[in-house]
Amino acid sequence: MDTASGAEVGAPGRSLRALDWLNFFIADFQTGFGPFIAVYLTSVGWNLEAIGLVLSAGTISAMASQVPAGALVDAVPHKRGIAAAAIAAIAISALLIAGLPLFLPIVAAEILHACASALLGPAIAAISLALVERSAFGERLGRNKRYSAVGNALAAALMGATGFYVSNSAVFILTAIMAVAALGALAAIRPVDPPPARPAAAPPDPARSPVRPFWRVLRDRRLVIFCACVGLFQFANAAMLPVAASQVTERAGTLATLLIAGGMIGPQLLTALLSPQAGRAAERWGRRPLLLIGFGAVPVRSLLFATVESPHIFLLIQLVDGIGAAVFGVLMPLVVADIAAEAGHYTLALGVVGLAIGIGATLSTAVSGIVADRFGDPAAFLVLAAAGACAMLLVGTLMPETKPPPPPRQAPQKVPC
Amino acid sequence: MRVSNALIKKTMHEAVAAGSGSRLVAIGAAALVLASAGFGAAFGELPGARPTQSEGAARNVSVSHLSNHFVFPLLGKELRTTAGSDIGRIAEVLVDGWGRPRAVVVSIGGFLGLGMREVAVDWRALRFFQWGKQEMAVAAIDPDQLARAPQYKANDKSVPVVSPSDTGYGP
Repeated sequence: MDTASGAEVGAPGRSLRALDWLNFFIADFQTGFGPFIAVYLTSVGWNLEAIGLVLSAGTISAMASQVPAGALVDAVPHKRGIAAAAIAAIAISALLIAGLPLFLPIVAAEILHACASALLGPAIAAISLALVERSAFGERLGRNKRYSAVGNALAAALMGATGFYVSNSAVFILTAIMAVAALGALAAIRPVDPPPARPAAAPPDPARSPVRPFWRVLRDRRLVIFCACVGLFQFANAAMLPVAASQVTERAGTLATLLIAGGMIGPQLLTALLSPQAGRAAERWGRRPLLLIGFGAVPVRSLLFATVESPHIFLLIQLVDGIGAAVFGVLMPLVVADIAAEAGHYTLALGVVGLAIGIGATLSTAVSGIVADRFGDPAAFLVLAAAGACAMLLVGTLMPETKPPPPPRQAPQKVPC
Repeated sequence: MRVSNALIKKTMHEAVAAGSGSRLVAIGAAALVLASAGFGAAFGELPGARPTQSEGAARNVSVSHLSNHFVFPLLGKELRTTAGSDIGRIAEVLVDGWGRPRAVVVSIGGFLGLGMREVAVDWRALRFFQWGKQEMAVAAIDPDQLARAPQYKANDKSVPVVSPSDTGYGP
């Protein structure tokens, strides 16, 4: 909180701190969704088939809504309004889940949550971009990621305890409360929201350049390559923790729950430490070195999982995930902002990348499941490692540096057109 | 064992509806949905004894009353060891062509759902008790051993089932 107003001179520190807390609370309430839904539905008497059906409905609607959501955030000038609506929708879906564990309400809640989340990511990125100078965006994203990582870690601990000591449905009540807190943080952001605050001659701002046709950014070669990179990254990454955690359950027995909790929370804390550095380093040295480090962490982790048997080492190996998560969380929105700097339609481009991420993650779960069934878990990890190495290779060979050349620092900022 | 009577009645009812073969059939809410198309209502409640009264052509239906003291829905129930510690939650009941329950699928382990595994436990390992007003499902199974069991997969031809350890309960 102390460095809130260093390089970030675009908006008052109060708004920037509110943005910190917004990221914190969003990560909080998103923790309850995800695999915990399966635990909850099992406990209210759902069978596996029905649970699988509902989770698939969530996955499919998340993928289907990425691009439309990005386009919608792009088209609507009032990003905070969208973010507020999305958070409210997620609160409603949490209450639906807690209160009405019947088939249709749960399916509706899952779809609502998926679509709202697809809106929320791009909306937060756009709000962040509007609050800071373009050259400080990397650092800002680093702070966003720091707060969301801390939020994730705390929420995982809190919700795990709530589910254990109180009840499974209380977790979703807690989720709704966190969403209300997020709305409070959102309301405290007083941004430069209506555009006229900036001189027209300022460097092109990807958040708002509505005059250019949308297909220009979509045909940008860098965006296509980056989509392939992050898609492969997610293909290598998404299934790794679930497979490894299931292995821990198998090997560590009753101790497994604690180990898995540690494996979930530990890397988040490392991410919280590293992500501001990642943001700063990306602004100083460029995106590619950082991307290579972050992408390189994935095959390393996967190979370690494939070879090391001890469930206790799992905790250490999981820490490597903190590096990948820090880099990915900061660099993904940053590189897309670079790409969209000229052609505009930043959040639409984010939606397209989000679709690539969704496809990669879904295929990851499916393929690793099949491979693990047929040839065992180590084989699945090897496949994931190979995919991660391919992603890294793709970044190393085809992905160009997207960091914009340093603009003449003083001149254009204050000169009105 | 009045409980197993209730379950057998229920499971036979559904095994017939789902087209019984000799292989194991997983019963549960989804099968009910397909059979009855009565979406939402099928979830949440698990009828212990369905064949009571139905209006209209109910004249010739014989009504039997299960003891109302100790029948309870099984899905979602916590399964414990004989020492009382948690094993997991019962997510499915597997029955054979005769409607006999053969195993339950239990979701075990994990944190917030991460690392959760499904394993099948032999029906003969299960016992049911009433503790105050609370029904309890107990299995004579070593949880660590259970965690090491192969995962239950709905589409597999044969289901790996963990049998009771030799701690007193015979079949």
